[in-house]
Amino acid sequence: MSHGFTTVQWNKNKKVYDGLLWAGILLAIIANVAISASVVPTASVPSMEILVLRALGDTGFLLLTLILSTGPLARLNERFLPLLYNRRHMGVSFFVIASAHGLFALMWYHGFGPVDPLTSLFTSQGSFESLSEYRFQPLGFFALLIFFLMAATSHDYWNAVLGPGVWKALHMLVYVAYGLVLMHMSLGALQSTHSALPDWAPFASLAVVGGLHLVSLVWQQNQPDKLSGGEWIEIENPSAIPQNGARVIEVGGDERIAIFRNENDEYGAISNVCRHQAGPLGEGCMVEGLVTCPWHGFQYQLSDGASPPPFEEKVATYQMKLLDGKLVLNPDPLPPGTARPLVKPFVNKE
Amino acid sequence: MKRDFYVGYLPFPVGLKPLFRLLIPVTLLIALGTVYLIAEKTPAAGSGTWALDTTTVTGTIVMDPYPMLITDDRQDNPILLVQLGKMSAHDIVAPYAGQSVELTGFMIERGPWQMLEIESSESVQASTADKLTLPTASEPIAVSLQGEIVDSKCMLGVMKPGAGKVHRDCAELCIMGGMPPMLLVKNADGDKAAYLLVDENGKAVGTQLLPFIAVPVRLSGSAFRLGKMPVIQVQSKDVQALAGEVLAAFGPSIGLAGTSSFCRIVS
Ligand code: HEM
Ligand code: FES
Repeated sequence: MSHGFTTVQWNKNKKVYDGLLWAGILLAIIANVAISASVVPTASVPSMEILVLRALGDTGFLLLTLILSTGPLARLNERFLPLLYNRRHMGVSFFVIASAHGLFALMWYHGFGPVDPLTSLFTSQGSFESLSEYRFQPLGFFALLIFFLMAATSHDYWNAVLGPGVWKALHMLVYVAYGLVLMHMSLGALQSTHSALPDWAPFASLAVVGGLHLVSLVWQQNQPDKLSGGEWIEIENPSAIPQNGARVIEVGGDERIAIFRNENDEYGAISNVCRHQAGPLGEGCMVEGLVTCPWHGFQYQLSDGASPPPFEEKVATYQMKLLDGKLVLNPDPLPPGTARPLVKPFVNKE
Repeated sequence: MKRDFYVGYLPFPVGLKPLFRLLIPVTLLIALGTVYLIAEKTPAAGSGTWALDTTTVTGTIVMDPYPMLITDDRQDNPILLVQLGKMSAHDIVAPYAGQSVELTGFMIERGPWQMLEIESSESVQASTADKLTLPTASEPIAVSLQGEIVDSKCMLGVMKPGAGKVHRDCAELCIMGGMPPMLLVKNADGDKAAYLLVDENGKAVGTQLLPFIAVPVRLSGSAFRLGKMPVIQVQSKDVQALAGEVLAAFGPSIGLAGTSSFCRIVS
């Protein structure tokens, strides 16, 4: 079963997810155009091109809000993990919609003229100083550029090429792009009496996304046991760790360790950071004897932190032992993939 | 207790099904509700039309202040001529200046204004019909108005809406391409009127108004009528951007005696 995670690609869950996603996207676009066209007298209906371009922008904005909410939601409650698993598909779908919006705008508002569309986009009147004359369209362009970089590097191939650090940093730019989109809306459509976008739209999105991130941040702060490290440290009340589950502890500044308990009540500690996209392994689960990442299902053996062959991902492991009947851990990491004995602190199940 | 832990490549956990049976329709409903709230206040975009089929009209070409066609029906209210895209019809019709022609193109129409969009020199045929002349201009009067400078092509029906901030870059390209600019004003009753803008010599204003397009402005100049067509002579030094105003919230249209006798756009 462990080959499930690299022979990616299509499985039933993904198909259902994508089907629902695109049904929702198309429904949102069609409903938007239909509603806009039906609320004004027939003679004064805006141009179809403009209605479609607005509907694409609106749908992209809703999708972006949803995408940015799934992370903290899944963090707060693992029942939302199915949303996260295919977030890449949602991201790429979002990129398709946002690009269509950008291309339509470039064609319709900047095309067919005496200068080429991109030149027009960057040389038109307006300024970056006055709020009422702010050139909101380049903001959308730069956001789209970031989304492009993310979509283009979304495949695991790029994760491997760039290394998890660079990859993660690149993908954190999504928050910059999100800010640019909110400004693009506030300084553009919101200032136009000809457009219907309500004033509260960007703020509502920011409240949802910001609120969820804040709550999950606070939750996370309270999650791991903070330990000073250096010497052997005691893991209190190990029986509170559920079978096939883990407890995350934090040592030193920000090093996180996942202490797993397997089905045989043996304990083992590995790094909490998944080699794939730095998913929190300790929030995962042991599936058929393997530590399974909650984000995309990468798997590791508890015995040595290595993925089962033929896969080659490895995470750091930690030594544990029993000291005066207490379970203790050495917070100095062993090189990724190092085997060390698992520890069985009690004989009877609690 | 068995954990309902979802792994993407394994079958969907049974325990999670009830949650998702609820979550999916609820998410969809929230999304559609938001779409409704975003779209329901869509403002009307004016009554302009842009024909999908071509029309053929016969008349006499005049080049000043802008390329126009004077027809039998509209001797006192000539048809403005433009090219496909954001381009003036100047180069296409210039060889026929003062001559009688048959033009084939797409009609753009809003209120009393008409504009014909022609494609190329093949849209023009010489004609033997009688030559017509431009009506004489009325005595100019000094005016000072608040409004928005727009490009006539988009305003009259090609882009709906064809004014306001989001349309600014587009309007600029049209003006750069030689489209006749117009001043759009709105009086206290919400009636809209549009004036063709020309330079101080009564010729095409060119690009001197570019910095003032699609922002609220106060504009001073002398207004006259060319037949029924209201025209304002203006220089860029007499146009002032009204900083900080809400875009397109025009002040009262003032100072023009008998505005009602001028062309009105019925919105
Ligand atoms: C090349 C990049 C882009 C360009 C040139 C562009 C241009 C525009 C223009 C001209 C409008 C005004 C439309 C109208 O009211 O008629 C607009 C609105 C909007 N744009 Fe963009 N945009 C770009 C990228 C983006 C991106 C990446 C997003 C993210 C989702 C986005 C979201 C929106 C939204 C939500 C609106 C408001 C639509 C409404 O009025 O309901 N745009 N954009
Ligand atoms: S499987 Fe993707 S982050 Fe762990």
